This record gives sequence, structure tokens and C-alpha cells, in this order.
Amino acid sequence: MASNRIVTLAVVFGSALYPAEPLVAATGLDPDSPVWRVGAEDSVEVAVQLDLKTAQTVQVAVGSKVRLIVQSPQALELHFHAFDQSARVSPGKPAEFAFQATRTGRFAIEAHGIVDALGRHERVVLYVEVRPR
Amino acid sequence: MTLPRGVLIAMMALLPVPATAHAFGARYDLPLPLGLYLSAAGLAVALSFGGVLLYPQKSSRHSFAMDIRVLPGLAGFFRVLLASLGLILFAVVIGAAFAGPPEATRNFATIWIWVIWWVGYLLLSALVVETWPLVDPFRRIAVGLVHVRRAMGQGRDAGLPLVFGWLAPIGLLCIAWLEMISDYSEGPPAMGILALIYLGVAIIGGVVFGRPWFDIADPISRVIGVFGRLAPICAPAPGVLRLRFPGSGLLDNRRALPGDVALVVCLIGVVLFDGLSETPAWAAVLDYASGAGWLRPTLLWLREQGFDLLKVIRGLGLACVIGLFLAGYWIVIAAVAWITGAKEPMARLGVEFIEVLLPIAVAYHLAHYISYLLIAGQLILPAASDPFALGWDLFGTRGRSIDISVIGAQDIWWIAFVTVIAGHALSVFIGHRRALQVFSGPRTAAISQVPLTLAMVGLTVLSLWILSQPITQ
Repeated sequence: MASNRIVTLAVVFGSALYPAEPLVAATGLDPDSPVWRVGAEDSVEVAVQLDLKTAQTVQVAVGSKVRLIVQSPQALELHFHAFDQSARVSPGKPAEFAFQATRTGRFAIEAHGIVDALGRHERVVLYVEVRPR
Repeated sequence: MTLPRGVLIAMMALLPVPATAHAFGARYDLPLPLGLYLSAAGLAVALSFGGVLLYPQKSSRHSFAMDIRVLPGLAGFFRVLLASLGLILFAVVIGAAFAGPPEATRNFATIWIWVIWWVGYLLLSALVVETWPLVDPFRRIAVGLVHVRRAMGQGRDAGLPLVFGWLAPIGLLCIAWLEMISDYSEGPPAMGILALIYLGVAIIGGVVFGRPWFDIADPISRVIGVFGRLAPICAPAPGVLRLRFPGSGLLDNRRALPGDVALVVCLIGVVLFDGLSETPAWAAVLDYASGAGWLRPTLLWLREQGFDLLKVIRGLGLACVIGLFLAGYWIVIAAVAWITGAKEPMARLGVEFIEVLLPIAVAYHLAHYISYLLIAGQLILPAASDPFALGWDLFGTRGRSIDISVIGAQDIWWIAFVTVIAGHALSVFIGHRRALQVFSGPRTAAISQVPLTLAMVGLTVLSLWILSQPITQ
């Protein structure tokens, strides 16, 4: 009697987990998401064109000397808080961030000056991930 | 160094950004890699099967505890020491709140309250020992006034109706709203005023109802009490220090209070929302709300009424996560009731088993906050040297800058892996022991754990999933 209940329960809960599976697969671990993976060299230069609809991710290896050139379709003030840098970018003038990727982590470059319907006036436009070698 | 450039760098590196959950800046953790995520999830499932199969025949009388007698003088000394520390720190926090620097990242009060105390001290209460009843300045002041009142020969305490227990989850939600949604947490004077208001309520409650106020109604005491039940060290009686198996405090017989289930559900819901609000999924929700044509009139109307839209949406998000977790929990309890042939009423089962999920939530909380504690926690060092902005340098750390490299991404991954697995294993183990306390037969107890273990696997996998998501602000 009890074992029938266990089986029924397992089937019910198991089938409830089914819709969860594609959700898990779709988010964050998708290899097609806009990520730039730069090789594990000691000195890298990356040029990125900002897409203001989605924030792309640039991945570099820890210890590299990075020169990041950011182009934007709109005039923005960019802040790279984790490395204490800021720069202006406009359609003809790319912004440049030069830093030593000494520590691992996921660091955001935020733009000030875009206001959306929710009243947010800062937006992350690019993520820099410094990954372990 | 003339102007402390280090603190300036720290300020800019961790500048309060209105859209984030905390004033103390973004977290820089890398997402948990797929391999670690999958192996942790697999290990959790394997441990659960192991737990279910290895159920003991009867509730073991061996309770894995060791009592140490402490010399009365030593115990008294520690009581006085802890009480003094609590009162002194409270005084410094209030002073710094009103006299200190106005930036949250430089003010001793805001750093102490939101980083050191609300995250660090609560985790300490769960992982090492609960000291809050001794340290609690609100309780000390209120109880002190009660003694004064008694000495003046005035009346006895009124009995506290148990329904006041509901103040605990309500208070917890207020604190969570303050921390995660409101901007008041970033304003030191606002925090000072709120702390004094809380003190006022505690004094009234303590003077009118006596000590039971802090056992039943005081939100902070009850929240820390819940965490304290997980700790391996406790003081069951004056002069006795007990070393016990972590989490075995959850198995103690204690009086059920109104709001018990709501309190733990809110705790777990708050911890989950904290993590979920940094996932790309949540960012997608916000982007959708920002772009949806059908929502625009409502959003514009709300804006005209003076509402901050982001706060409204975050508040709704928190309410939904808590609501979904509560609903999911009752579905699991209904399954437990059904699978055991309804031998116990559902309400009782709900109360008995909610705390069993705590080890997983605390483990995720630790994994989520370890880098925050080690990085934003460093802010206390420059703040402590000059809490009242008088130009002091008490500890020589006035110009200290924050070292973000103190913990690396890989260290955090392994801490996350180990703590979440350990939390899951502990939950499964405690769940079993609990079931043996609740149900008469060992077979019924083992069967009752099937839905609960599935719920634990779900909570653990959700925690791992959140940890594997790239942090999105």
C-alpha cells in the first residue's frame, strides 16, 4: 500500500521536474550567449561593439594585461568601478580601459545616462570576467 | 597620505548604486561552473538515497552531545563581558549613525549593521554559537528598566498573549524590505532613527510583558534563535556549555509559537530572493516590465503617484518568491500527510518539518555571502578608526583600502560546493531524526521522508542553480 503511494508520488514529482529541465538548460550555461572568449595570453587587446539591448561578456584569463576598446552607438559615460576607471564613449570615439587582470571575478562596466521606463539611470553594458587559468 | 586615498578608492569601487540590492556594491563572484553544479546536484541526490535507505530502526538515545561545566565565576564574567560589548557597540553604532560620515560605505553604523551584524553575526550564530540573548542591547536595556521598575515596587508583568508571536515574521519582512528594497538602509541617520525606534518598542514590550517579550515577540531574537538551533555550541543551562552535532538543536523539544512556519518560510524566501534578484532571469523580468506596452500606463500612473517602480517590482518579486515557497512547502506537507496515511494532522506536520530545510538555506546563505563578508567587511576597518568623523585614527587603519583579491573565484566555488552538499546532507539527516520523533513507527517515519527529501533536493538544486548563474545587476 505504502509502496504504491511512493511510486505515485515519485511519478508526480518527477514529471513536475520535467519543465524545469529546459529552463535550467536555457539560462546562463548556454554556449550561444554573447560571450567573447579571449585566449589565455599574457597581453590581450579586445575591441567590443556595445549592444545596448544586451550586455555582452568578455572573458580573459587571470594575470593578463588587458586593453579593452569599447565602441558604442550612443554617447555614454562608462564606469568600471572594480578597477576604478571611467571613460566617455561616443559613436565616433571609442573608450579604452587598460588594466591588469590580477584577480578573478565578474566585473561590470556601467553606463550612466540611459533612463528606462522603470526609472533606472544606470545600466550595465559589458561584463568582464577574469577567469582562472 | 593626506586624504586617505585608499578609502576614496574603496568608496568608488563600492559606490552605492541605487539599482542593486545592497549599498555595499556588487558581488564579483564568478558563476559556479557547470561541472561543479552537476556533480554537486548528483551528490545531493545520491546522499538523499543513502539517507532514505539507511534509516535507523528507532530514535537513538545517543545524542552526540557533550556537556562542559563552566566555573560559575567564569560564566558570570562572560555574561558581563558580552552584555558590555553589546551595549558599547550599540552606543557606537548610534553615535556613528548621527555623527559619522554620511556615505554608507564609510559609516561605521551602516557597515556594522548590514555587513558585520546582519550577515556575519547571524551566520556566526548558525555555524558556531548563539550569543544573542547575552549580547542583545535591546534586551539588556529593557530588562534593566524592568529591574528598576521592580525595585520601585511597581506591578508584575502582564501575560503576553501568544498571538504576539506573529510580530516576528512581520518584523523580519520589515528588516528584509529595509535591506533589499528600501534606500533607508543606505542612510546612516535613518538607520540610527530606526534602531532607536526598535529600542523603544523593545523597552515598552519588555517593561509591560517582561522577558517573554524577547522569547515570543521580538523579531531579531526569534530570527537569531532560529539560526542558533543549528549551532554546534550552545548553553542549555547557566554554567553549562554543550557541544553538539550541528543542527541537532533543531531536534530539541520546544514550545511551538505562532508564526514559526511563517518565520522560517520568510527567512528562506528572503535568502532565495536575494540570490534570484541577481540572476539573468530576474533581469529579463525587469527588461520585460520596462518594455511591455500593456504595462506602460500602469507604470506611468504609479510613477505619478510617487512610487519608485524598481522598489515596487522588487517588493512584488520578494512577495512572489515567499508565496511560491510557502505554497510549495504546503504541497510537500500535503504529500507527507497523504503518504503516511494521514496519521498526523497537516498543520502539525507543517510546524514539525519546516526547520528541517534550514541547513540548506544557511549553507546557500554562506556560499552567497562569503565574498561579501570578506570584501565589504573590510570597510569596517577604516570606519572603526574614526566612527564619529572627528579625525581619529584609533586602530591605525584610517587610510586602509579594500583588497578585493582576498578571496578568489575558485575558493568561492569550492566553499559553495562543500557547504551546499554539507547543508543538504545535514538536512536529510535531521529530517530523518525528526520524522522518528513525530511518527510512531520507523517505517512510517522513513516513508514520510520521501516527499521531504525531494523538496530538499529541489531546494539544493535551486541554490546551486542560483550560484551557477552569472551575476546580473
